[in-house]
Amino acid sequence: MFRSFAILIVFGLLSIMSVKAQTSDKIVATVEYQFKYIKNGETIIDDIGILDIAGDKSYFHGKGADDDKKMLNERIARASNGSNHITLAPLSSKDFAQNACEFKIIKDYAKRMAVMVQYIGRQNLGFVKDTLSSRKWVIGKETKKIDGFFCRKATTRKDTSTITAWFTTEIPLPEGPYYYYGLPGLIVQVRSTAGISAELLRMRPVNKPREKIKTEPFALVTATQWYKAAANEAAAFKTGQFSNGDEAKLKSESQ
Amino acid sequence: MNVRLICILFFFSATLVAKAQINIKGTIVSTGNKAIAEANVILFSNNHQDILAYTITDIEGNFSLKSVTKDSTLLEVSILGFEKQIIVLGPNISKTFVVVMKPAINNLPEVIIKQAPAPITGNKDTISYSVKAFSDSSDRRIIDVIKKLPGISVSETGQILFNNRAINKFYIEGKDLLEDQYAIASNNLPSADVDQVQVLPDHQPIKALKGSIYSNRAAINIKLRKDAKSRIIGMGSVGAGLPLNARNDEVALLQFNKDLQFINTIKTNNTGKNLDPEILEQNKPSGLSDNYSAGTPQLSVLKPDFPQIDQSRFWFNNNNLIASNILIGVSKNLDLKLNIALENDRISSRSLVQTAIYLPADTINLTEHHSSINAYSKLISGIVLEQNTDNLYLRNSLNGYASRETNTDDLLAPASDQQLLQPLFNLVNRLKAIIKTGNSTVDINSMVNYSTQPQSLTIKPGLFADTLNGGYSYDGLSQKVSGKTFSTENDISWLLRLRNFSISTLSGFEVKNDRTSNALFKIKNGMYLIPGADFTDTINRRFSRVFENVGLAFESGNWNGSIDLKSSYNYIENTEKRVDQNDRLLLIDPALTVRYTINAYVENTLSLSRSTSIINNGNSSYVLVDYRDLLSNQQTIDQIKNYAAVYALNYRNIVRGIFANFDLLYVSTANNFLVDYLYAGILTTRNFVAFPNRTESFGASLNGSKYDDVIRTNFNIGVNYTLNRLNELQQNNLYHIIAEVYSVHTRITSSFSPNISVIYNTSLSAFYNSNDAGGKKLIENPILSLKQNLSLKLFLQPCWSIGGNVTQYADFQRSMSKFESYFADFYFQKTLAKPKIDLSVGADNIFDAKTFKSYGYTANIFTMSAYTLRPRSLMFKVNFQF
Repeated sequence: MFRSFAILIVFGLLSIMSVKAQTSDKIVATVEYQFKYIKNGETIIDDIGILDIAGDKSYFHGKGADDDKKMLNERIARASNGSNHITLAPLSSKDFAQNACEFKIIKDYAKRMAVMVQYIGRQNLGFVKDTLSSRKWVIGKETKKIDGFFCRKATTRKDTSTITAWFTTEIPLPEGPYYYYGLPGLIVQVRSTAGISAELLRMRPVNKPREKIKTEPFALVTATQWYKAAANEAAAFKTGQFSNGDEAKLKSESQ
Repeated sequence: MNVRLICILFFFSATLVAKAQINIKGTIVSTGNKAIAEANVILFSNNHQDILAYTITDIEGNFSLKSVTKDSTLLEVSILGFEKQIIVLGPNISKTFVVVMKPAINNLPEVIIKQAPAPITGNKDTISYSVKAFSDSSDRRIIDVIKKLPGISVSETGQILFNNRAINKFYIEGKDLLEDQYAIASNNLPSADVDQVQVLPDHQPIKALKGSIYSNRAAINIKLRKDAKSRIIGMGSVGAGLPLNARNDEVALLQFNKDLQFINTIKTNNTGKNLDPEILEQNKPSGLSDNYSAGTPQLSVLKPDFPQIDQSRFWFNNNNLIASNILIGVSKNLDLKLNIALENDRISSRSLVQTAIYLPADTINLTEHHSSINAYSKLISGIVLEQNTDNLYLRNSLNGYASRETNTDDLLAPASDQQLLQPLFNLVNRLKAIIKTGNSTVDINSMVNYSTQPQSLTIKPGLFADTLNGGYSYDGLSQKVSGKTFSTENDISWLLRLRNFSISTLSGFEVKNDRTSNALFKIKNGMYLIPGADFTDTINRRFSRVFENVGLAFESGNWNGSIDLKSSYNYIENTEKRVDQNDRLLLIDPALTVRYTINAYVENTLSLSRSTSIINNGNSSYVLVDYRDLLSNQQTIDQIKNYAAVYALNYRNIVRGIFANFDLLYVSTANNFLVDYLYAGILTTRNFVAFPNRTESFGASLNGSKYDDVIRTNFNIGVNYTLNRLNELQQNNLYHIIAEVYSVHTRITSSFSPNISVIYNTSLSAFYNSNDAGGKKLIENPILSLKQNLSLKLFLQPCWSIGGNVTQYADFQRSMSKFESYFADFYFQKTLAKPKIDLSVGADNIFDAKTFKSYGYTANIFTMSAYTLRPRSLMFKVNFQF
């Protein structure tokens, strides 16, 4: 009897134990979306959102913001002219991409969370935007073809907004733009009543994954702290003074 | 899709659940028994359509699903890198599975491309035009698409301009295969193989000079589609038609690998298509001396100027071209380029020219009927070795040019036959080296050039018997001119960058020797006799100079600019049989350029400069440069001083697709000689005489283009004004001439519907000449010239298209008849998708216009010309791409 029990235990351990999950950290596919955020009729974001997907996480970032960063580095390099002296590299808002997506979304599969990261002033701050769960989507019976893919409709709710997504099981990636995640196939098209919309533009699978996802270090804070920091930064921008993180007083208030 | 039963291991015995309920759990593992996270687990209805439940495995590969159904179900497990598994489940099942996934090749679609909604993207450094957004299904060559891009225009010779400035480089995948002969690429690269046309504004092509030497010219870089980079691509066509056994055949092979690029073409046609622009250098080579001019007289067969219409309408040709261009990547930064082109052509034309020369006391009228043949062969070759890195630029080019040209013209009235032989040989080697160390840059240039051009103009029967043969007739005239030139120019410059400034100094020397011999012979009874000592000469000219240029460039905020001071000490010596001349001249010329960038969209530039040129064309003998022009220049060595002011304002907004530029130009030229024209019947004698002379030119132009993404239409409009004030001596009378040109042009290019493409352009010019001779005005009525063209293409189905264009030309002059010409062309085409073949039939000059008439005048000379046109024609053509 002991022998049977031992076999059972070993068998059980073997069958349930994951020595190492299939969590390769190399990028296996890159997906591009036309990503927009329109609020009260005004376009806040109109950019190409790039979603890099690896085995352990995914990284959603805006091409416009990436191009701005590259441009900035090149302008500074040119202004320094190879010397140690950095001359002014004057920039105006017109030098930067219009309506770029400044934030990034990191979805960590192991920790089951989607973190939104953005520079607030000089600080790179992130907060948990959503958990990664598949249970919140409701898949309907509606189907249609989008760009040659057979797509199904799914809906969910977040806060007060309704999110409608079309996904395809032909691409077995439970991923999508922004923090959207958890459908049994890649999201091809999505719209939310809060003004977010995205459409698939391109997908490139990586046949021999080599590159890892590279993200900048950030500080994880709560959503409340993040929004407070953003409000402080906006107030500091108006007053022209740097805030120490506390609520800044506007000139009209201080006079 | 592979469906197979899998081996199932049981952990716990199944437990019964509620009727028609499905409750399944399990683990997804690989064949190595490793848990698979993020796998899709979907429970389908038995028709594999409806999703009953789904989930995603956790970090340990576990999943759990519940659903309610009466029927059997399908459990599908899928994840990248593994084969999809589908398990058939019965109803009322409650089980725990371990699903073992077999590895598989990542079978995602390679690329999904949705048409980019923004046809123009980019930033300040690169503007990217999506070829797909701007092309229609009739476009075959990339030049067809480039012509439609906002902010870009293409001249008739194939020169590409961005914001009204010629581009300085045409790259393909970052490589400069063709240097300045880029028309070979733009005319032969299939547009279907191009992904983007990138414009690089303010492009400095030499990496070692980036940040040091500013450039205000853009470059173009062609980005190919991925599948076009790894194979030989190309296009070709075979055409035959009526009348005159018309033919139009060509084939082009292209390849653009990382270390090897080539473009090889073979073309032949007799349908009026001129292949010469394909091997034309679009930019003037650098390093040549601009401020010294010594004349070997150029002989010519006098013909009317070409009419300002599409050349193929009056070009009776037989043109053949073979060209090969190869770029070999010797190492990462070192390229070897080889190019060779052999071209020949035989062009015939017929024209009538009526010329009126208005003099104060007389009007000279000439009527000439020309029947001309121009036959030439030319061989152009070059070998270039180039290394272009951030700290070192090295380039050596050896270029050779050899041509043999024969021009004949049978003048019906006055009856005479002209024949001109003009072989030309030129060999030039240019070496350039730039070494950058820290904040300083050293630039070395060396150029050696040799050319020879013997010319012979024969005219029969003999003309101007009174002047040349004492009133007795004779058989003919033969003018021979031979020129040989050897020159070398070498300089070294040093550039130092300091914070916002850079200082440069350039020192060098130049030596040029040329020998010109000319003799005019009367031909009588087979003998060649010189009419007199005034008709022959041999001149040896030696020119040498040392020069020093100092420059200061600055950059601060939105400002940048430069101040340059050019100085040279020049020694000129002429040895002529009548008079020896020599002169020493010290020249100092300043120049200032300032550029201010107002914002990311607008920049403006102001340039002020003075330049001095040395004219050394003296030749006291008479040279018959064409059948009725005798030229003599007894002028000593002279200087021409140019004062120039140029202002340019540029606007570009790639987000809104708006490009505009405004240019002002003022040039004042001062010298001490005038050409005195003396008319005696049809004979014109030109003598250079000492006379203080000042000319002025003023020009203004405003151009703008706007691309509307919604209606896929590009609007382009431009207005130009030029004013020239000059003096001329005719019959010893001094004329003050003011020549003004007003012009406006518009162009609309639209593909508002996928099935229609429309191009409309119109150009209206008004030419005003005012000539004042002693208070009496000659020729005041302006000439108005109008051109309108409408081109329409209809894409009826995916593989059928028809198209046509209608063109109107009109010239008006108040006291003369109005000239109007209409042309229409039509084609009908079927396209086969696989293989890519176009079958077309086209008709040109449907209205069968016989001649094209136009007016023209310069100073006080008014001309009416009529050119014989190619008749109505029909062409059957097969185009193919691979």
